[in-house]
Amino acid sequence: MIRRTAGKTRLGSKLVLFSLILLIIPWLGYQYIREMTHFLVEGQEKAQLLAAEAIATVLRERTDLFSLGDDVSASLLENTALYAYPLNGNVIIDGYFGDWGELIKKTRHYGDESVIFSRQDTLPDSVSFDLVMGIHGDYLYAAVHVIDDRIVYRHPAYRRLDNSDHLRLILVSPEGENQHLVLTTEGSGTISAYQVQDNWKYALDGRAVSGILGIWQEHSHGYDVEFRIPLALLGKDRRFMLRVADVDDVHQRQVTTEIGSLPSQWSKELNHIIIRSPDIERILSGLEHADSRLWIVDRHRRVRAEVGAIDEDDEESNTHTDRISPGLIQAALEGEAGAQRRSVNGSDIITVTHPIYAGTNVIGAVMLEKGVRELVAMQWGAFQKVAILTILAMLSIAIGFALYSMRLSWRIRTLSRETIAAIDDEGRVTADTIQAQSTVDDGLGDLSRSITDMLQRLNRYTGFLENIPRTLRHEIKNPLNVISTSLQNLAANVPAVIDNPYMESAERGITRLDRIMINLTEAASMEDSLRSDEQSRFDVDKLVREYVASCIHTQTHHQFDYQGPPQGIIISGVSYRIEQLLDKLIDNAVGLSPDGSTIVVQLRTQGAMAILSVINEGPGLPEQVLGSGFDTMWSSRSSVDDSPHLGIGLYIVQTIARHHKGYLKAENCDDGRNVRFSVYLSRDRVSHDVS
Amino acid sequence: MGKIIAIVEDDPDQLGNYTDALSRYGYQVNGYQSRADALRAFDQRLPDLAILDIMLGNETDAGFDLCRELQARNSQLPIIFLTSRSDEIDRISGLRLGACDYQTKPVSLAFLGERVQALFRLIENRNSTPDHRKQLGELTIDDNNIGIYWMGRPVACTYTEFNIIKSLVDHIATRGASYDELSNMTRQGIVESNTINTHILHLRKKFRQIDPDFNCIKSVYGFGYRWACS
Repeated sequence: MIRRTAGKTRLGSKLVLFSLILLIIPWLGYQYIREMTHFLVEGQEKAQLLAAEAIATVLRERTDLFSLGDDVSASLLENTALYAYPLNGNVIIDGYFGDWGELIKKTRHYGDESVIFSRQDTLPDSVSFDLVMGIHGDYLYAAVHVIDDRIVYRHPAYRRLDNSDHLRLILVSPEGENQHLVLTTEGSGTISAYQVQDNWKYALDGRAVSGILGIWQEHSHGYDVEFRIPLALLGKDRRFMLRVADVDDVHQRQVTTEIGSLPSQWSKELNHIIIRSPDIERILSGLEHADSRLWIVDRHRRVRAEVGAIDEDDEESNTHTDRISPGLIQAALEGEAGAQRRSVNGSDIITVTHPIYAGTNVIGAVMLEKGVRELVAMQWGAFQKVAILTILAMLSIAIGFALYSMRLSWRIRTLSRETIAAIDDEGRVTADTIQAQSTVDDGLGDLSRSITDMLQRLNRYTGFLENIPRTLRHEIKNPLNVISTSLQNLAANVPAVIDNPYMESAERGITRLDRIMINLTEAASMEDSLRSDEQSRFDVDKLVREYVASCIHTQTHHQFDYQGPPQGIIISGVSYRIEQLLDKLIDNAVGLSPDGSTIVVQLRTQGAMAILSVINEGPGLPEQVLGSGFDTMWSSRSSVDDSPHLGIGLYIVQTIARHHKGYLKAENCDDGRNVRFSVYLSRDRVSHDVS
Repeated sequence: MGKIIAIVEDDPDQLGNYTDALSRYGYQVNGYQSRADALRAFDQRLPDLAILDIMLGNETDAGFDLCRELQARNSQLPIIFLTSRSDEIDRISGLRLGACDYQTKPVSLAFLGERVQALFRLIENRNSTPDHRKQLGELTIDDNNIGIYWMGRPVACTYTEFNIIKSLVDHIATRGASYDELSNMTRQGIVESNTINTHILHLRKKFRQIDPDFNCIKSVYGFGYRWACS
């Protein structure tokens, strides 16, 4: 009757849908973090620019620090520069490079592209070398790792110095002269350094050059040479070149391949030894930061100082600042400060440059690089925090919503239960006050109070309607009594009128009116009467059988046929109400069927119900009657006869049937020639035992 | 004779008709249209019999109040309710207050006169010896005193109920008393079977107060009732 399921779920799912809006919070958080990161990166960039400017200011006018090689062209310098890293003094000249530490990773490889001379047609893939240079005190250090498949040592019997594997050095002396030096050995161990002629064949004075110390160590693929030379041997430009001469044939002892520390096309030039200025680095050492790197570049883009490190993998940037940001350096050297962001291994690095001035001239540039890893870490941390907080907030809000919706639907349910119970199946108001939620000061409380108010108004109206028959009865019976008693008095005073047909018709009218009133009040007070009836258990078969037997005497115009069950049917109820019900059904059947026809009364069981049917001949009932449910006082008879009907009879049948937990059903049968009214009555559960 | 009958009825037409009818029997009839009028008159002198309507003007239960008043002054005073209220609850209330009968409108004036006569006869015979007693098993019917006794103890029944029992006993040899025959005993214009059922229900209850095993009034479904103790 009342659909209760839909409202509950719909309310819950609405709240769940509504709570989905909360998902916008993490998105907003993410957006905020992105904005914040962007802002912070910009802030860092500005801070970096300021730092670079500060450094540039410190180095302002310090032309002394940038004095080296000013006259060398930038493009040449770019390709010939050999960096000498500052050493910490731990390096021992022993032919083993372990003491070079991290610097050994910064070696440069010279192979095919650096061949100066080769006797063979094919490329000398058997020879190549790696070189790294350092500086400590007054000495220039070098570690040379040579790959050579066949080592030929110097034979003391030969005066020529170029008939064994050896290293050649070309350097420009402080006096500006080119000097040729050969580093050679007769086996692993200390090397000898000789100044030689330009053709590398013979020593100039047969004396080893003093101050040069070196050790030759053989290894499985060739040999290592570690040596140092006094810086005093080099001019102020520190020009220098290293060549590896390879001799493969012990007997011929001819140089087959020569590889230099410059690309082949530049082999006539010399390297510039770039010494990073310890003075500048001392100045800058205080500026060292984790995850940041600072370079000072001179006008020729030579890195004159470097502090800090971003990432150990980031080797390429050590010496080749131009590879990072040639444009930036160029701009800085032209007087423009600049900033740039780039991505290395997934993390952003900010690079800023600032020119260093001496007067109005740019003497160099500061390049400051800093990773945003801190920022990323901060961003991630913030994101995690936001995510956790959001999840907690969403969970608590969701739980809150769930609890709230549960409570809300519970409240609605209690209200709905009580409201449904307030009106019974017949539509009668059983309680005119709703207790549930009535004291709550919210919408549901208002609803509850409104329902109470509604019920009370409905109750008043129902009461008014219920009282109509009584009021009507009172209002009609009194004048009826006036007429009736007046007629009786008239008959007594004027005996002549007693046999007058008008008198008789007046009395008939009074009788009919009286019957109508009785029927009306009977129906109206039916429910009340039924409630005060005492229930008992009785055999309905016996009752109906006896009743039909009586009908044969009382209803002489019709035949009766009773078709009963094989054994008695015990039901709980009020026997004379069933009799009253039969009165109405038989009355109805008699009224609907032609005289002389047979009215069949059937009683049978079907499951838990006893079915009492009265079948009579007669025209079929119209559809609206079959579906009417007999809740109204319907009548299909239009003819006027002695007993008024108004459908009250069937209404009473329906009411009594309901009181016996049953119902009334009407149907046309046998192709509409017969009408069947069936009353379903609830059977007594223990009927089998009793019968 | 000179018996005084008080009729309280707010409708002057009905009051006039009752007065005329009962006057024909030779009674002195005093009519009153309100409770106040009636009470004033009762202060002067109590009537020998009172016929009361329940609703008087706007007072819905004025008849009941008057009944209580009269019963307080003379508990032996016979009272007949004559009303349009046919509800069971009103009928029971009226009889509980000590009224001898409860008639619903429209009334038969002839029956009213007969009823009044019977009541006066009952009062006159109240202390006389039980000459007109009829015995049937445990049942005793006293025509003079309009009394019913079961197992020697009186059954407090109304005039209508008395007539019903008499009718049942009269038809003891046949199929039983039909609804129509029982209806005639109530002397009302139209009586539904249901009204008879209610009377029977009350009678059974009254007998069972004396004898819980009482089972002598049998239903003849679709016909009426039968007196059969077995």
